[in-house]
Amino acid sequence: MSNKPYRVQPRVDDEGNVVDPIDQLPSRSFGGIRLEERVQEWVEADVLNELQCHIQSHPHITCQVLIRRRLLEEISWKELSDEYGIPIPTLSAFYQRHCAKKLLEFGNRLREAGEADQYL
Amino acid sequence: MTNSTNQPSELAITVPLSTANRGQAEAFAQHQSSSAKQDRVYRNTLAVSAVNYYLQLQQFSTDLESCNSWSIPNQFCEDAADLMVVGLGKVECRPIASLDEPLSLPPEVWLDRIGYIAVHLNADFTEATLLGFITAFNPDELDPDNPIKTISLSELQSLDDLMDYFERLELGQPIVEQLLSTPEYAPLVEADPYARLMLVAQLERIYRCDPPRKWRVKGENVLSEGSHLAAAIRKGDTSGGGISVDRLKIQDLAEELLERLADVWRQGEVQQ
Repeated sequence: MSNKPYRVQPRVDDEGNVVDPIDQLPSRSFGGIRLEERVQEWVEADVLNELQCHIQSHPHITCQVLIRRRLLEEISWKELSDEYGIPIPTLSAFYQRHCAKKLLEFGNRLREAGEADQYL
Repeated sequence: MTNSTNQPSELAITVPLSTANRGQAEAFAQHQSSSAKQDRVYRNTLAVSAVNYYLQLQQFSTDLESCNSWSIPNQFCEDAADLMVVGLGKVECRPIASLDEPLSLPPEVWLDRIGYIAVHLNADFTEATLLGFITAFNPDELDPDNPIKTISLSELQSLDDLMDYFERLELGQPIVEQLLSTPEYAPLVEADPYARLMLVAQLERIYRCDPPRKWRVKGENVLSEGSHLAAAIRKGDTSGGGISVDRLKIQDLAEELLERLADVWRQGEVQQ
């Protein structure tokens, strides 16, 4: 029916060497910390105080809250909408205009700091 | 093997996916902890790579660095396959696993896309078929009980139409820039460069879909939505009843924008 789900497979690189991703597992982490955990730390600490903007008239639904719930809890837009009583287009527009932008900036900072070289 | 009853349209275009494309997709996918997310990131990366290849062949510049699809922190939280076309805006390159499947657009990609391209990946991820596209839409028109917008593949427009659409956006940019920099209108509108790109795409949709008598009000809706209007105007007091001066001015602007755009777009059609 559809393509089989993707699994990380050994592959042949441009020089003809077989590269098994399993052999490269340590490169998934930086300083022993996986990138997902780095993002979690950044969201929770919000050292730069950049994640406190909120949806209009909903001071408790901040960038930090929305990223946390999408990242850690993987809550669907429908569930978030039902829980907060806010239409999905309002939630997802806020996510796109604010949260996604902050995630992108954080990714760029990691890259610029050279920390992400091993990930990219 | 894809066991599908449907065939891609004759207007679809198939492009190769290289070892480097698959290596990049794999490198991104490895950061995800669940196989479902690995799969999502892998396919999104390949769909973006395929469209990137095609657009570069067509002499469009693209910028992956500014895309959510190319940012690992974003990949954890969102199902995005965006590709920035320099000077025009982002297209969303949605992978579909089967030709029987509709194109599905999750809420995190509803805004700030000038269009959506359906990309069919073959079973061993060595080639991708670009099936067609749809233009930007208005998220407020979606069914609130059915939040994932789906588009049947039969509704897609061809890639030739996509090139015409891109050409209209290119023609439209300087028109919009010019009018929005006049002393009369400049104070009304936010100077965000990306919002300007989206504005042209949103007005193009009105030009194509709505009769000229509706342009004033439809255009006002677009300008009033999201991030277009300057903050001072957004907060303008309209509680006194009736139409405020600001609203009338915004309608004037909408009408003038659409009339000027229609002029250059009609000329473009005649020349073809």
